[in-house]
Amino acid sequence: MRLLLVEDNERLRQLTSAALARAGFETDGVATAADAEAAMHAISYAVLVLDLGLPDQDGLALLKRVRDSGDTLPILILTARAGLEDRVRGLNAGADDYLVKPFAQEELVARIRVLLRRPGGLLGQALELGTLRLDTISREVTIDTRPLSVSPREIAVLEMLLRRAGRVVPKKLVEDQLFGLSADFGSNAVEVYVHRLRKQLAEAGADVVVHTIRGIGYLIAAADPEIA
Amino acid sequence: MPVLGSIKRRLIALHLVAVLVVAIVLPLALYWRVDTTATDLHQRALRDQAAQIAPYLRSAADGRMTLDLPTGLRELYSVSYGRYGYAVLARDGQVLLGSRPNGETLFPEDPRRGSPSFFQRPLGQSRMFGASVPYRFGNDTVWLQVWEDQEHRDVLIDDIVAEFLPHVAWVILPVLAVLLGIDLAIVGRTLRPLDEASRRAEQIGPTQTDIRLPETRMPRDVLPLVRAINEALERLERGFIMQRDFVADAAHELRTPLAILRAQVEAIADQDPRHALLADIGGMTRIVNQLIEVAESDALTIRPGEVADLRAVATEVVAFMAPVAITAGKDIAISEETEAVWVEGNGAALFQAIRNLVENAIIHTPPGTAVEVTVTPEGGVTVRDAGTGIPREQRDLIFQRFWRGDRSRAGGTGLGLAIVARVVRAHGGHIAVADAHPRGAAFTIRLRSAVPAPVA
Repeated sequence: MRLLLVEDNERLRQLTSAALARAGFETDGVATAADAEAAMHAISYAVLVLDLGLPDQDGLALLKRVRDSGDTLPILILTARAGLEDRVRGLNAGADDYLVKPFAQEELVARIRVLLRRPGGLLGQALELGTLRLDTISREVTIDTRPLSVSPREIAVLEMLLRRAGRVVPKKLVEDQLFGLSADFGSNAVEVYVHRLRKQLAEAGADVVVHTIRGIGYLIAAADPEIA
Repeated sequence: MPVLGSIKRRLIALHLVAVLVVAIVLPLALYWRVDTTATDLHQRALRDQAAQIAPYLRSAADGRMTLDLPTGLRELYSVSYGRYGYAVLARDGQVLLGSRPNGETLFPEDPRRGSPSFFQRPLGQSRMFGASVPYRFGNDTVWLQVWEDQEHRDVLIDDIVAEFLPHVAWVILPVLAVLLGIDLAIVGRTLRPLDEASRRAEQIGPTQTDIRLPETRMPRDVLPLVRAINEALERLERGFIMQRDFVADAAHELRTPLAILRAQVEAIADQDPRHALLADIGGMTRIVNQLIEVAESDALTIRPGEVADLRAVATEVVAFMAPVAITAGKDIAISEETEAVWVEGNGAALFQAIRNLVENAIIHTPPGTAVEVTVTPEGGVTVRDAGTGIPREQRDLIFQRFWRGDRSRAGGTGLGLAIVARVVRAHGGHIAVADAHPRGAAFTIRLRSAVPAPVA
């Protein structure tokens, strides 16, 4: 899987390329918008990681040209600009995600994986967090390769949490995905599923925790995370 | 001069003095002028009388002088009538002839000059006015004196003089009063642009540098001053913006080196130094972010009609900060209010303000406890922690820049609450801190409710 990293600072480009390589991504690094366009003409990349402050032109202009040409490849913006308006402007211009410097390399890798797992994305069907693994095709859940027996609805909940690992999944979204327009479910149905899931994960000795963010939803995270 | 402090009051006071002086001096001057004219007229009448008599002076054969008046004049000057008289004086003062039976004159003090002279003296109950006019007579000069009882002075002229003062006063005083009123109106109208400029100038402050004084309708002599002030304000604003932008630019420039530093630290294999260094980089990143937010909150203005759903913004903040709270071993929750709460304001700026409060709360709440965010339908949001709370005497200080309650504690830049306060102020809102129950601090932001929901 090949990524294109457009970043004009050479050291940051090298360090980021190295981190991406450790995560299993082949990375081509370029410093200018012109080089980026040339590279994209030659190769079809899986993800474009784009710094907005480029020496030859504004990264947003390049972003807009890529989108105008009809290319739908996932684009993740890296920027030193994090003003009130900057984030909105970047996403409006067609970026799929937005990461402000300084960022954790781990976070960058996680975001890229999320982009690749999207429908049409290129990453495989397995969702992983710590020793927990969910195969989205066979619907098997394993911890350290030991299978975990969970119900289809609990797996559905787990899949939603894992797809957005480290971020809050609104309870409303889980309800909508599980029950659709049917009103035939208890008000605490999702809580019941999460409660059971949590219990089973704990019993199996998983190194992940499902947190409740009261008033919003749930968040799955590694039990002992690196400092973010 | 507290009483005469303003230009308007000074003008009015000075004008009042001027009007009073005119009210007194003008009638007196007019009275003096009329009185002088009356005396002139009277003296001319006496000279005319002398001229009437003079042609009848004759020199008799024995060299003596005679005056043979026609009947009408003779009766007028008769002793029995008594109101008029005459005498003729020689150069040596000797009375050559006269109307008085004893051959004396009423005015022996006549200086006998080459031009007419005038006298007056009391006589019995009345007052006599006299004139002495020199005449050539043969080879010699004689002085013909005529006099008249004051009772017979021209009655009309005297009446005018006597009546003048009260009458004129009654006309002049109302005219002056009306003039004063008109002048007050003129002064008020002329100074109105200055009043407006002063009021506008009062609004200028460190957060309102875009105000300029109005130049339209400004009097031409004041205009250079107003222009000079506006140019100074322009330079001030440019300097202010330059400084603000410099802070933001410098902070932005620090992000890439921080990213490089972070990437290198993350590659350190040994976990303990890696964690410590990452925590330090996290602190530096926070300072850089807050410097940018300070600059942004300084530049923040809320466009009229701009509204935000406070409930949605607060939920977004909680979702955004939840990973941070969980990483720190702390809980976070938001009240389960499901209706939108529309307030006047900028959603992104409110996000920043609430995020700063939540960030502080996460730092200060002990591990294992929760940060609670509550949104009320009236347009309020409260962030509670279970920390040590804010002592009462520090509650006003904490919103100042670079103020830190516990300087030794890591993580605080002293900017967060200043940013919050600035954003809330730009929204015309209010922020307060109170004790949370059973322990901790509760920060509450109140914003202006916006009744109409915007069209999405």
